[in-house]
Amino acid sequence: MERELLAAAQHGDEAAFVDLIRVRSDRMFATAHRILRDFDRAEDALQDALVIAWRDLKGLRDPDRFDAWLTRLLVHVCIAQATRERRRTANLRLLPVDGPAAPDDLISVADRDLLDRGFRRLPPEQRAILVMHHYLGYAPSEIAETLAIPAGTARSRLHHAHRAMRAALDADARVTQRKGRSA
Amino acid sequence: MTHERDVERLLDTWFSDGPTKAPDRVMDAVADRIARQPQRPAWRLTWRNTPLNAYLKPLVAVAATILIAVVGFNMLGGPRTNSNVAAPNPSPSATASPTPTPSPSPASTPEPTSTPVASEDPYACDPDRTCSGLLPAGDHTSGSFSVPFTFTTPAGWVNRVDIPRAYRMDTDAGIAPQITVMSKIAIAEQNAACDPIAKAGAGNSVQDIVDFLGAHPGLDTTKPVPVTVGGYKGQSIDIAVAKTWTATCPDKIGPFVLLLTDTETPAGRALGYESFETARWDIIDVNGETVIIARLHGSADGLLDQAAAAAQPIIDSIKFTKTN
Repeated sequence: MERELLAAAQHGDEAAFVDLIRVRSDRMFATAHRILRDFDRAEDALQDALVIAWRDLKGLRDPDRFDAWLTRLLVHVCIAQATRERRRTANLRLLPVDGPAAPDDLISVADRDLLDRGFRRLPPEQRAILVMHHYLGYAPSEIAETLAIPAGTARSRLHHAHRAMRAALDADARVTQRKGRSA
Repeated sequence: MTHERDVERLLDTWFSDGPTKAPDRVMDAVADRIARQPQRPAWRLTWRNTPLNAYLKPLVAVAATILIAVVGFNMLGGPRTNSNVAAPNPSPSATASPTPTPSPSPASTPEPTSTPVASEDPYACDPDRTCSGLLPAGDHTSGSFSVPFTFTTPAGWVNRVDIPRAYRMDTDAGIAPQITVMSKIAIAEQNAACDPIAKAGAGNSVQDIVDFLGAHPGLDTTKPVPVTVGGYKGQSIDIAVAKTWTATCPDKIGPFVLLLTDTETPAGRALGYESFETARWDIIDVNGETVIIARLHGSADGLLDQAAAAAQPIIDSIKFTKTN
């Protein structure tokens, strides 16, 4: 059924394409939101990625690669958008994020704030790799395959992203401790 | 101190929170947009991915020009014969001079290769390369690299590439950088397609490379300092992509500085760096052949010194075995 929808979409059937992506849109949106950390921008990124997918769908030769191809498009759109945003806000100070408190008690609100600050400081490529690994559950080889980068590069970027997050958390923790002492 | 496992656990939990449903209006908006967006024909999408080396491109361009001329001549009423002149085929080769968009537009995102997702092999070679894989702690010798050398590593290093023009290894342990030893050096010309094109008139001596890096508008570099590797002298220089640099490549997202190609025919190397990468190059003269030992740190976090130092014992252990 999926293959038939895909084949129809590749022959210009818009309804088939919408059916095909409707079941994937939630997961794609969730992925975009985790990379971009912004509801509106995630929505824009999802729209853009899906329109590009429609436009370039005829070039997809292997139907089994449809999901990987969609993920790659989405991640690239998110990285491009985050890069633009990063340039635009390069001189802005990061503020604590307002939002609903965590519904669980596995991570404290303070930890969430630290994670969010650290994550937003990462280069978009590293953000995307962290989301692919920790949210989508991709192994480094799958990240490499999806992004068409060498496996060693994927592993290296993941390693650096983890290290950068750890450094950001430690740095923020130190600042918090210093502030606590001087207050 | 936050440990690696703590960070990974925190990230797992943190990412599991957050919205999981796309707003309904997204699908409406997409349906509206695709109704106004024609699909691209398949041939326009696949030719970008067709490997076409720089050596063949002029031949293809000439063939395409001849094909277009012949077809045009016939269509314009040239002498008719009974020979079957092929109709113009909308194939990639008919586009004599493709000009990939130099912007980071995701529109140029090619289809992933049809290779199935490989099982996780932490010691795999880079695609289409030969290598030794995992290197046990101890002494090693390069295999195919054109300027043979020996070196010593601790446990955990993996050789990913061992071909005549390059020997590459990396490790997931600590902050150590990726190490690539390169020969057959040629300075590359930055070009929109990022094809491996040598810069006309550029030399490839140690000083030529140092001068090129120092004067490159796309790079921030340190002052070169003398260095000796395996008894051979040269210069060491740190490089990072300048914040003002905007040129990129079709398969890159952000700024990319193309630096090196090679002297092979056809050239296969198109080495450069992205804006989040920093590197230290030890450029040395080994019996008249310029060899670069690049330590690549995959982050612009200011820790290149620390990363480079982590690999210094390996660099210090290198001994070139080529005797001229």
